[in-house]
Amino acid sequence: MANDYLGEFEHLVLLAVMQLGGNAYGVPIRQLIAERAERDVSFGAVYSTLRRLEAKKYLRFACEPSGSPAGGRPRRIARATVEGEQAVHAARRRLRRMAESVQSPS
Amino acid sequence: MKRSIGRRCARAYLSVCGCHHVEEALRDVTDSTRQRRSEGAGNLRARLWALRQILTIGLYELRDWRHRPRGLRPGLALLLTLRSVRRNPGVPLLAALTLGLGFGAAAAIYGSYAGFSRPLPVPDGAEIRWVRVLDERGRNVSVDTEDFRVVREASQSFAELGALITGSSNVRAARGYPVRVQSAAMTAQVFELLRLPPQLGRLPSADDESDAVLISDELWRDHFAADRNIVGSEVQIDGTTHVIVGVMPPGHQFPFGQDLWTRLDPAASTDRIELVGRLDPAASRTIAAEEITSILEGRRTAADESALDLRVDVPRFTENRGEGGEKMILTTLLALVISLVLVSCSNVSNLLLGRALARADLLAVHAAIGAGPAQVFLQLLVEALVISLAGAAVGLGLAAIAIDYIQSTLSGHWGYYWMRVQFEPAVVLFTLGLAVVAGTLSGLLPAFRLRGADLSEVLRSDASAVVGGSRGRLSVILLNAQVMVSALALIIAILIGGALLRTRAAADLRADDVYLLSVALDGSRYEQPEDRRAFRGALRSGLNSNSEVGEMVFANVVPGLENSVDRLEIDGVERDPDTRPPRVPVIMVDDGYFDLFGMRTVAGTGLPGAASTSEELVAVVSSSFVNVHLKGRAPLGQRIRLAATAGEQWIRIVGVVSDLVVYRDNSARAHARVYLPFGAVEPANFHLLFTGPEMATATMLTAIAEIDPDLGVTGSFGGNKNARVRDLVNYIGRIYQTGGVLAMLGGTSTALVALIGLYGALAFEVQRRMAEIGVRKALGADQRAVLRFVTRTGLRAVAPGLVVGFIMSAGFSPLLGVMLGRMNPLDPLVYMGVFLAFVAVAAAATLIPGVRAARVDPATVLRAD
Repeated sequence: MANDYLGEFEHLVLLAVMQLGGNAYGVPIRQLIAERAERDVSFGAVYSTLRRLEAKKYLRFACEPSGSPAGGRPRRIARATVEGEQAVHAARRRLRRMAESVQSPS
Repeated sequence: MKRSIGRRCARAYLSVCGCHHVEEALRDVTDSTRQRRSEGAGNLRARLWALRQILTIGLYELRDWRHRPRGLRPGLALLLTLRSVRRNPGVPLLAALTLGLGFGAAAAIYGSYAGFSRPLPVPDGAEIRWVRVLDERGRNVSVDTEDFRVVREASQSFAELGALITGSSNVRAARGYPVRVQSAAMTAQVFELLRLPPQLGRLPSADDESDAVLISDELWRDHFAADRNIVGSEVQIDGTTHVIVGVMPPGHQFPFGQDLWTRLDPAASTDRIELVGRLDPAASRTIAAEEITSILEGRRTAADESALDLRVDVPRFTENRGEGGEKMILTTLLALVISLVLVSCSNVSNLLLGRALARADLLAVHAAIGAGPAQVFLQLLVEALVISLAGAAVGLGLAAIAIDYIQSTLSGHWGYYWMRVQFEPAVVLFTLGLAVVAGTLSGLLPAFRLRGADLSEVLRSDASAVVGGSRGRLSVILLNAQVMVSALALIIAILIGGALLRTRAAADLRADDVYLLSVALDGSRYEQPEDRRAFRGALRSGLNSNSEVGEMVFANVVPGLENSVDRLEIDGVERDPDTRPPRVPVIMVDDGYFDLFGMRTVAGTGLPGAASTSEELVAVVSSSFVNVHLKGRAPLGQRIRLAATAGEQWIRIVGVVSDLVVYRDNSARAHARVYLPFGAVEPANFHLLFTGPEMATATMLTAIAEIDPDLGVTGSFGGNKNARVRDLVNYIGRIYQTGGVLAMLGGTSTALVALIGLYGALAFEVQRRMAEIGVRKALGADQRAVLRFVTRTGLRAVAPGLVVGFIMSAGFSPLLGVMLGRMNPLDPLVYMGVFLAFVAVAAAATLIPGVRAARVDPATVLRAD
């Protein structure tokens, strides 16, 4: 299970996908990471990470009609798989265990 | 924005980087840029930001390239190809046949080219060189034995250098009739430098007496009954006794089909020798040429002949040895056929693109379930290659038949002894190579077009969105150019091919019981015309007492092979000084010739008999001659001049005979002949035409042997002494027909390639305009109107090319003149047929998708993007 871990940016992207639900594609994912994690990332990095997560089977793509009220072409929407959700939880547990003995600066 | 250059560049850049979802990425970047602008970022800043995003997407794609699943699966691609071909075999079959025709033609021509370009079949044949001495205008300068001696002694560039003279000789074995063979007198060095040992005996050496001879395997078998004890036997050559020292191996006929080699004594001075040598492997052509130039110049300066500006060349022995320029014709043909194959590639590519579009949804499904762009690319390429290789199989089959036919038609009568046209591994390799190139080229266009597109889009949209908009003016021009060239080629091919195919021996030609033999009275015994006349007289009187030979006549040419022509001048007819006088066949016959072939005297008298003592030269002409050249003027008493035959002397026409129709479809010009009395010129080379049973040939040979026991007589055609005029006429007819078949095939395949291109392009065009058709239907057009519109579109696309092609054909075909025989260069049937063929294909090409278009639901088409 060498590939079973999540890198930090992968973690962020996967969390964004889970939060966005049925609207997880390039623009909102990038926007969410910029707002919540305060990181200005490039589309290239987002796509590359999505591809990597897809290869690890943590997410999959499905074609869905555009959510925009003005219509438009359907989009490829990313959805986290069960394995993806488990991987997020496992990563969180690992982080928590590692952080337990470290006092946060107050 | 949608069509902006920036967007196109971005799309191209992302495609090149291997981006999977180009359109989606572009949309994301566009949306985000718009949002940044709405949040107050300046236009320039926003654009720069977008540029950076596009660049990084590409860079990430490239970085991730090595992490992508590598699984290119050629086996899967092949399987899917075979499955799709089985489901829908029409287009692939058509494409394979088109390519197959082109491959077949190219392979047959390449096979012929390879057959004509073989190296000299001796060890290291490429080292064998002529030494040609040329003057400043490139004409051959004769070399004498003294030149040879000096060059041989001084030259360092040649491992060995020898001299030879070619000619023909009469060979008389102990038994049988003498035979006339091609012979060569060669110095001992030439025998050595070929490095080819004899199968029996040894090579003549410099120490031999000058009577040593070497014979070919063929002569040994045919005239010496393959006697293994032949070495040391005596043989009469041109009346003198020689000793056979060896027999060369089968197939060796150096230099040009010789069967007999005698020794050339370098001490006996002669100035007609040719120099041949084996170039030292270390020396180049230039170095050798320069060296010999300086040697010869030194010698000539010493002999005070410095006025000549000499140039020496040392070409390979087989260089420029394609009789009648076959190699040049074949090279041109090969270039033409390969360009035809390339054109058919572009047409097949159009067909495949249309097919790929029709199946784009399938490819999209492949992409959606994980096939990368490379796999889709591979899929399309494999399809094209499979079709192309199927075409190669068809082509190889055609080429095998064609090569066999070419070899059997030409064998023994064409080219030099080292040339042989055969279906060999090189032909297969050439065809497979061509097929791989053609397959790759035909597959690349559809593969690139579909690979760059976002295939997932295809699942939801119209195919035209994938391949992009206009096909551009260039492709319309190309299509029309193809239609033009192929209409021209087809019309000309039908006219020429039709004329050649219709060239058959006339049914009433008396040829079945007329035998022919060739005689050459060129030895020293027959130098004077009187000597030759005495031979003829003796033969005639010798045969008078013999009942087996019926009629016998002498003629310098035989019917059907009238290769003796001269320029005609008519007394009192002013001719344009810029144009050359017309050529007419000039035939020297004695008085029985007309009776032998049943030709009637139409006016005047026949030719004067042998007893005539008149000094004036007279001629008899054919009816067609009067029509073609005298244009209806009274022929009798007209005077003509034939410069090459009779110099400045005027020849008076004393009679007109009916035409001798050998091939019934020849034009009147081919029947326009001049007959001169044989005795007036007394040619040294002539044919004996005689009737009788098959035994007559033996009687004739005996009669000749009684007059001159050393005179070898050859069969007139392929060495067959029992050949009849009919065999010769049929053989030449077969060459005409081969030409006819080739012309027809060439024209038809050119047209077929163009027609398939036309079909592909028009079907594609209709597919592309489906949206427009939807609009028309939405606006109230009924099915018939749609069909009319579609057909008009198709016909309009090819009309200019067709019209120009027809005008060019009508202008060009009358210039072909005698090649067309009795075919009318403006034959309405031919033009109408070609026109209908093109219109039918254009109509079919538009109607098949047109019917689909007419049934289309406007709402469906318009909803699609």
